[in-house]
Amino acid sequence: MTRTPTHPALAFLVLGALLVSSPTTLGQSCSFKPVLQGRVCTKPGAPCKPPTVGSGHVGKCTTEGLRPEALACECQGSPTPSYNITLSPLTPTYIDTDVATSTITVIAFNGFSGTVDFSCTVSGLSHPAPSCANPAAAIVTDGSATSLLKVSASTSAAEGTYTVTVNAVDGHGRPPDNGAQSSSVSVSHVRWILVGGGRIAILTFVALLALWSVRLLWRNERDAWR
Amino acid sequence: MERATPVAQRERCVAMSSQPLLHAKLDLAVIRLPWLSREFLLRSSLVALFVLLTYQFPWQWLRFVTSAAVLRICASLGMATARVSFDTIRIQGQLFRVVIACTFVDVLMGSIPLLWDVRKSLHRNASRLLAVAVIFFVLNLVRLAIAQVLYFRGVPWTLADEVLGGFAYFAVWLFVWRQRTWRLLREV
Repeated sequence: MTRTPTHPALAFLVLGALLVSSPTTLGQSCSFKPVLQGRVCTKPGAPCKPPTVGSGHVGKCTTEGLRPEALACECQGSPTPSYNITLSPLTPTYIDTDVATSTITVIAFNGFSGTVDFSCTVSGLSHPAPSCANPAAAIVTDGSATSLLKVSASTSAAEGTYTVTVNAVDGHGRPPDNGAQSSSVSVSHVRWILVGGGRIAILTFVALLALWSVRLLWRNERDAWR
Repeated sequence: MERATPVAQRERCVAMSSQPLLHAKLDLAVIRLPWLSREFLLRSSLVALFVLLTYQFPWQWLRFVTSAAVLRICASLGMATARVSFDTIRIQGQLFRVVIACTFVDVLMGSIPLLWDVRKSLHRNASRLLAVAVIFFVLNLVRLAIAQVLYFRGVPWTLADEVLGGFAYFAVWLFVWRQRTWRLLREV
């Protein structure tokens, strides 16, 4: 025995077929149209997803065919090469009259390559502040490059905590997508003390061991003679 | 004791003539000096290896725990304390950085080859070493606390920390010596 579809069921099937054949006919919402590198945008003017860095990634609405109510949202333009910079924490975190260092890493996006120049500034409430030399330029060739940031303090540097900010520009004068990066360092002229055994501890131990060995040998010798 | 007397007399003559020195050397050659046993030499080599291996790791967690314990002990003794970083503490305005040697982990690792009993199972040895680790940790904290107290009472840091550290190492050696299962000297 076969079943024949009822009228409400037929209507449902027809509606479904319409939705499948033309997804943009209902309302004004954008269709999700995968474009370059699989990125889409959700509405006109919205950033493309997944987000990328660089320009040329903002979705744009276009009409589809002759139907003005049907909009397609697509990401136009190819992503612009760009880069981010990251700073590792300055180590040591406390300096007296020595140098704290940090590694600057340039992370390239969208095939970015070229030279990135750095400049650094030290800011803080106390003066005079420690100094930092501009880090050497990094040449990005295969996706990333590093440079070394050095912050040095002299005896005249005032005690306190300072923020060291690194700015970068590429060959076209463009800054990194994530902007300037900062790390902090503190200056303390209090003398450092390293806790733990050192040479004198070892020497003391060796001296005690020698005395103990002599005593042991002497006792053995004495027992042998008895 | 009686034998020792003539040798001592000849040694006194060394500065005057080289001939007695020759005799003295010959006499010393006759004396049979004890040799260290192979087992002890092997274990000693392993001590060096284990200590070298220990310094290949940063032991950050242990340095943090040790500095935290010292911080608490000093605070309980009425000292002004503050943590600066994971391994650095400020006590009475003075910065102290806890390095690996301060944790006694090198001493513990170096003791393993000397404390390992080859006749016992791995489990029993591991249990024993765990107990030893706890003992060493407490001993280390005691010596660090004493060092801090001595230092802030005017004793120079070299004396307060390092010389005391040497005594602590020696205490560990005496402990190892009492616990040993190996012979120091070769059997003749």
